[in-house]
Amino acid sequence: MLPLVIGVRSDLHVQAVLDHASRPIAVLDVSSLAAGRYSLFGSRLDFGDESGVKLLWTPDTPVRGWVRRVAPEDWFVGVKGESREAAVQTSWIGLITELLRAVRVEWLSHIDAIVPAENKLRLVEIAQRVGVSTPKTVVSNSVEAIRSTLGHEEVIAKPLGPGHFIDRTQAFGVFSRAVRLAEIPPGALKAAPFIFQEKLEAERHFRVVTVGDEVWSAVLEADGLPVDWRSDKLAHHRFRSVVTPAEIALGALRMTDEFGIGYSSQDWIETRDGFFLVDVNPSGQWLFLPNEIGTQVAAAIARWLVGEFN
Amino acid sequence: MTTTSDEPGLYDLLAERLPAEPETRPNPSTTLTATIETLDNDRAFAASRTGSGLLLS
Repeated sequence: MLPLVIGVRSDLHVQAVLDHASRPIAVLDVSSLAAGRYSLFGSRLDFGDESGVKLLWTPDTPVRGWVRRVAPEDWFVGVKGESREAAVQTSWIGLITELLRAVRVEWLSHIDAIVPAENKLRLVEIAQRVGVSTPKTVVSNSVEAIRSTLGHEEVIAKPLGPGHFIDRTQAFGVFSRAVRLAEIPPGALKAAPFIFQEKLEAERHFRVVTVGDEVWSAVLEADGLPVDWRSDKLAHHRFRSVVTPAEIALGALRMTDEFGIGYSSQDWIETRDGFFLVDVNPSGQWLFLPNEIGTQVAAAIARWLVGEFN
Repeated sequence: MTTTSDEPGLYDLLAERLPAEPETRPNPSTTLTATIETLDNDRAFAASRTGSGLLLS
């Protein structure tokens, strides 16, 4: 069994997994492909780099892989659309994506399962199908339609697309926020599609991590926090480890089963009316959680990669 | 063709400045979608040219 991570060794999450593996794991992404020597013929990859790393991947090689990141986060930063640089960088992404789709690799989460799992509307649709509660959700550029669908004046707005962007050199985050529909400026809904959800009163936030059928949970008291705890830097470090409530464990695994993903980090909230799923991150982070969770998650991924469990 | 207008949208109204160092960004979710969909649809690249949604963690 060849264990493989798509990412870079300097990534803390990759490091954590490598540290828990019982034997070496190959690490590869577009930047290492670009810096090394490679040959891809059909399903056979021959790769080597200057540090002595060699990888021979044939159709007969049993490979288990975990996709952490296909490219460094700055791969496209500053690259203008349809420019020569864009063509070059996109070509590298095309190469690694072909590797990701090679038929002989058993991925913890296949890239073709990861992509739909990142779609928040698909999440709502699947959750409804498998009986997992989510906030009532609508996407619309009509204030009246949002108001009549959700039945409230104050609702949660969250981006349908990326939750971050870079304007020149400044990075921005776009977090879920409570908005009053009457206060949205005319025309503001026309610029980009956004998701609107009923505003639930969270008593606690849960970050739930799954690897295969294993589930870990950490809880964060919602009192005093913004709607989206991710916008509060200190909140990241106030999670505490808890036994996963049975309803969450069942729902979390139903979602991963439906999406066909072997890893997920999920966001749930607890209200007086019960538990609600608000997000599934098929490539989300876990190392900001209490150490006992971080260690177990990294170890579980490492054990899966080297074939110590299915 | 572009759908971008000069009128402020929710991306403008709800955006918050993040710290300069990527590793300190308070964003524990991530997405592969922007990159992969670029592959599947070259035209989609135009929408992600700022690098937004690209593998940030």
